[in-house]
Amino acid sequence: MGPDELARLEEERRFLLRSITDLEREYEAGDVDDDDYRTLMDGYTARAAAVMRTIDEGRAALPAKRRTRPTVVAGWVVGVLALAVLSGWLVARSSGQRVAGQTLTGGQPADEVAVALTEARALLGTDLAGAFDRFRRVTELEPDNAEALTYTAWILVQNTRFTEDADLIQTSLDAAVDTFERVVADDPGYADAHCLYAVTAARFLPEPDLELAAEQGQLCLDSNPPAGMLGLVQDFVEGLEASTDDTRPDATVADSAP
Amino acid sequence: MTGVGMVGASVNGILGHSALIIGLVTSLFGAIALGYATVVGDRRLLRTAPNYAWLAGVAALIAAAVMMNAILTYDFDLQYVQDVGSRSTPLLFNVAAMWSALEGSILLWLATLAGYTAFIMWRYRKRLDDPLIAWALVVMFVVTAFFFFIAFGPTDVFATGAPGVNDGPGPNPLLQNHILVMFHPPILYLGYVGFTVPFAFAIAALITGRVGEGWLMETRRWALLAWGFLSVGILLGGWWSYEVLGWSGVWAWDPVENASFLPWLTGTAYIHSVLVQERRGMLRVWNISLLVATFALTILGTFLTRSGVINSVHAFADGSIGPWLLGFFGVIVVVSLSLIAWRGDRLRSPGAIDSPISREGAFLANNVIFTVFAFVVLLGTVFPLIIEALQDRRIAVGQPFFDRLSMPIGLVLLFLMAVAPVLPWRKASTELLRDRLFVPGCVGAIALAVAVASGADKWPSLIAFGLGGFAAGAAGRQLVLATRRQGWRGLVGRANGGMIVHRGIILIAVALAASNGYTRVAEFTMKVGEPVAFDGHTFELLEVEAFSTERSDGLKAQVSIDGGQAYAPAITRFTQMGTDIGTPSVKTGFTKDIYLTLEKATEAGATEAQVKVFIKPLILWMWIGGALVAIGTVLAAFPGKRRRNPTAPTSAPVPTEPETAHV
Repeated sequence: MGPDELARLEEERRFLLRSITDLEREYEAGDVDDDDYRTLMDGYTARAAAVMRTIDEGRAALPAKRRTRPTVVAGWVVGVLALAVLSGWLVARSSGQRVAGQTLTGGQPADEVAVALTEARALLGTDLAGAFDRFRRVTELEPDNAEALTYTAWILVQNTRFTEDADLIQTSLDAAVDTFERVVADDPGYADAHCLYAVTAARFLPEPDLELAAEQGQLCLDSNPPAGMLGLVQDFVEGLEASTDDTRPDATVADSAP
Repeated sequence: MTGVGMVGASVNGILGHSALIIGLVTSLFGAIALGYATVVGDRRLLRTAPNYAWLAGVAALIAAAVMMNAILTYDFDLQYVQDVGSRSTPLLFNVAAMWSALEGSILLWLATLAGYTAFIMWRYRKRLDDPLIAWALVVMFVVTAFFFFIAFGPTDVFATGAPGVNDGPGPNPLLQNHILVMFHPPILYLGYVGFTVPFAFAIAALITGRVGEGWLMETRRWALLAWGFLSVGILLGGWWSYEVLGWSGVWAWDPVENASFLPWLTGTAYIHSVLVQERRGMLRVWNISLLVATFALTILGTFLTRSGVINSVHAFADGSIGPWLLGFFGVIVVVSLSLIAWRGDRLRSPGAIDSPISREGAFLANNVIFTVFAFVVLLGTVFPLIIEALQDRRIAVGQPFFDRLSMPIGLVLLFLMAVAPVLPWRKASTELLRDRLFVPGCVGAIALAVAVASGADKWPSLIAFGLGGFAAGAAGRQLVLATRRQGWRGLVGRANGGMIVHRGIILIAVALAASNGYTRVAEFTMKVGEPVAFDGHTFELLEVEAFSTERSDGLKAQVSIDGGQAYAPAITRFTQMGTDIGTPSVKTGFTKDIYLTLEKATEAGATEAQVKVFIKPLILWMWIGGALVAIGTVLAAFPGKRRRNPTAPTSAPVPTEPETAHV
């Protein structure tokens, strides 16, 4: 017996029991005579008993609770746990600080770029590795993003101060110079690239290229650099002009880049 | 429309409030009267129930019409009209302003829900003495009453605004930019709210104990209809995003999108697993749970998107609608789970799945995958809220989380879409599988070869193309066999309509794989008379011109593509809001779209402009796929040639089946 049939029988039982109650009330009120009362009561009682018996049989025939094999249960538990751990790890790994105006989840790539840049700028003075990761994320989303490329190169340059591995220093500087060259060619109006390229050429290359540094420094000044950088770059360029063959320009600008 | 000075409220406000209170009272009376009459067997009272449904439906309709009238006649006595109305907004977008913010969207929800309730009442008016129908309508009355209450109380849709306001800003400028804003929200709501009907029947089945297959037969078309509307509504949202937002994408996994996607996932799982119950009487608890989850997720989604919680979790304390929606969500979950526990003995399956390599085994796998997908999306969506509530940190979950997990899940679903239709019920032999999968396998291999020959080289996209071909081959094989046997009727009915829906979904999946994997982007400073080349096309700036309307002004760049027709991406400034909105211009083609956005232009007559170019492969097939989903859903709603008798025992041994009989 299916559950629908069982429910229909239960509905019929409710109807019959209610009819018996109604019949008793009418009998007590004197609306039904003795003979009719007995006939009707016997009929209702017999029908209700038959229905109740069928219901009991139907209930007994309902599928018994099956025992699930322990291995199946264990498999499901392991699967659910694995899913929970994996998705928890991924969601934690894919989350980051939410800035004003950003949606809780997802968003257009441009939003993600803006967020990664904001985070990278904030980390630049305290956590170069963190900043580098953010800038790299931006270049994944926007391969031509001038700011991310420039500062990725600049962090590579900065890192040469913390290693004595000559090969690593050379590789980093080569990569940085290539990137600076690409940015100043693609986006000549972006001042930061000129400024940092100038500093790199004068202070970090194994053989400083002061001519290149002076040229890029001047391009930086011509490109309206950020206010915080302007004075430092002016001093840097003046230092270059005044320098003699073995003079190296003041390092202040390198240390105070954003 | 002028205000009624003495009481400080407009005629629209008074009419709207009156309609809402009448609707609230009649819905409550309807629920009580119908429930009481069913319990005590009072047929006279039962016969009055339809009147409550008509009254509630008319009240909701009047409330919506009054709000629309207020917007169109600039009744700035109402707060909502002050927020979204504007004398300078064109009629089309003034109509869409109705659902452009919280109050109007609640009214749209209410009107849709009351309409469904009235229609269900009309449909079953002669069967109200059937307790299953009566209890289903009680549930619908209760849900309708809740939304009347939300509209009247916490949201106060017809609140009076500040005096002396004669104009407003109009709707969000992004909602004044494309005709799709007229269709996307109402169609989405028809789907979203439509799931109330099968949910109500599921609860009624639990209350009456009739948890067999009878209630499924009553609701299968309603579930299909709701699913179809939700699918089309979601896709129209993606189309709007593509045409308006200027980033050339269709889906960004933002919380509002996720809120609509979650019930779609559980709803899709349900319309598959319900076939197993109809056929073999199994998965009863699962099907009821899926419907409960689908409806609960629509309420949770409404909470997420309409309570202000998305902007800040601290809106919990200030929001007026949020706690009510959250409370209602809790009530739904607790009541439903309690009823399921109460009826646990009857919900046990009379049999078990004989073999995992069977139709029911594939449906079960499909359901597990859809459930995992829903869990992943739900986790990503609520994770920032949980972290903010527990640690007071504001975080965002980036798109990579959703992309990384949805890609393998999508590929598994494509595989199941290929295999499930050819599997027989109970078990399959190796010979049978080899025979039935041969043609789909060939189609998949050809699709893969074509993709490679076309230059595709990324493995996720290649797998998607191959599996897409495999699944399309399986669906095509079923349709060919069905039409060969049944003629034109081979295209209608749930099984065959379902195969057309499958083909639509496959097209969408392939278009997504192609556009996500192979979109090419470049930004140029274009100069008049100096064409630039990109990805085999030339682009030439012809001129930069200004345009102006009563509400906005802006610049557009006329860009000729390949020396032919000019396309005009624009930047529009909505003067009242001071907001710049980019409007892309798209050259649409069967193999690719060329999508232009104007990034920067200084003035009319300028000789240069910064223009971004996106080359989007196969994107048109996404919209064609959406049309197929809609057509397939309609065809699936028609009865097929061999309709099963609803009263036939479903747990009995199943005779050997012709291969195209069911999805």
